[in-house]
Amino acid sequence: MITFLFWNLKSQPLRERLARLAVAHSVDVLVVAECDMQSAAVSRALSEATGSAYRVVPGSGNALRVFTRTPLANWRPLFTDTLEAWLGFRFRVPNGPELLVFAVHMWSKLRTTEPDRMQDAKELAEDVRQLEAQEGHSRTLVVGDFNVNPFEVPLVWSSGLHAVPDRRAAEREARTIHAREYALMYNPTWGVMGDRTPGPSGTYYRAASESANYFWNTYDQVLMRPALAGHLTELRVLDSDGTETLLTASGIPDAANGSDHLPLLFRFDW
Amino acid sequence: MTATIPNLWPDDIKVDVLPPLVILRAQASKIHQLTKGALLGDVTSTEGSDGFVTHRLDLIAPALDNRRARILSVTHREGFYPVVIEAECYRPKARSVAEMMHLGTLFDTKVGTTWPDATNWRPAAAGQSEFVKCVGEVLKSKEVRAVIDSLLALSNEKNQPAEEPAA
Repeated sequence: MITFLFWNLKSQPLRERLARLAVAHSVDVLVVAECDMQSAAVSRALSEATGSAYRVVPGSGNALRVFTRTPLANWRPLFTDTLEAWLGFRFRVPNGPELLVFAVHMWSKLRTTEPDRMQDAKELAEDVRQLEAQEGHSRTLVVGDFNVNPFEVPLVWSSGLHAVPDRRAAEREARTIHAREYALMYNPTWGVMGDRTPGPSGTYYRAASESANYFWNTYDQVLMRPALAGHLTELRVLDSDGTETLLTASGIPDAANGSDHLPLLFRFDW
Repeated sequence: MTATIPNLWPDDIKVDVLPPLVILRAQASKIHQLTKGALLGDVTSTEGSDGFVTHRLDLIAPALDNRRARILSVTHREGFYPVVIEAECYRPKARSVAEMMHLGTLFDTKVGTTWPDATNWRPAAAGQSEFVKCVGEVLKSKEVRAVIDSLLALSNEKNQPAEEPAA
């Protein structure tokens, strides 16, 4: 089994909370966005709390970073975007298969227009396809803060990430539109949206004044190719670091004492 | 007597103007020569909505399992120019979301706005000479130099023969 956690830290010094999360959920790989802390300080906090040696994965960026307790020899950096909006890694799961892992934070693109977001999704999708061709497999997962919800066009658009909410639909592997084939992704994050789920209603709360307001948004997501879908055993939005709540008394992310995003936890088993 | 009508056109108009993609491809091939094959350049293109095309210039380190670092993205419409350049050296050094909120958009085509947005941090080259100047700025920037030297150092480290065991 391998356990991943993604969290947008909103530039807050949250290493103690990260460490508690690592302990509470036995996290093997932490992907963090907007990380302003020194990598050594984060690794130390994680290692001291868990008793396992965590290190930053080479190829991590300035603000988008990957920490792991798996051997660094299992990781190989494969791609860095100009503005660090996404990073690509080869990762051999201990006693498991080799994966292609993309860490994403569309952080440079905040408050952009729909064409911006569509172009970002299209460019990311092309980079994913390019690395899949290079690596010769499609055991690919894409995790991070996309700054759009799972149901918005950049995520579901065939030329974008083409990520659908149903595993069986994704297992078609591709759709042909106007004689061109578009590979599908499975986006299980649809399953953690709204208040009929066990956890919080999303990962990011915003009471906007616009006429269309979702209040809860699920910007933090994990997408995967169908080859991985059957191995996903758990996906949760976390509302606690294992010791303390991450929410305010009114049940929204406690940005004053943490991040305005909630962490996303997911596990695979082989 | 006939009055002499002056030439009001700029003096630097050239007829051998090239599309941005051709200029980028030429730079991509040059890095191979400059690094004696240690690094390759690759240009990929994506077509967006409203006729936008984006070209991305990547450096590839063959010795590092083809590790790829994107150093430049340029976007234009079907007329090639103006072209907007996105690179780390031009990005405002903001780290917080609050600061990033002011960075603006690349493709804002709402009614009443122009493209490219004059207030955007990404420079817009009106023609070839400005584009060549910008690409040169990016390729000579300390940010790109750090990427080149990092990829070369890592490649050299990997290619170094293993030390012989002491006798």
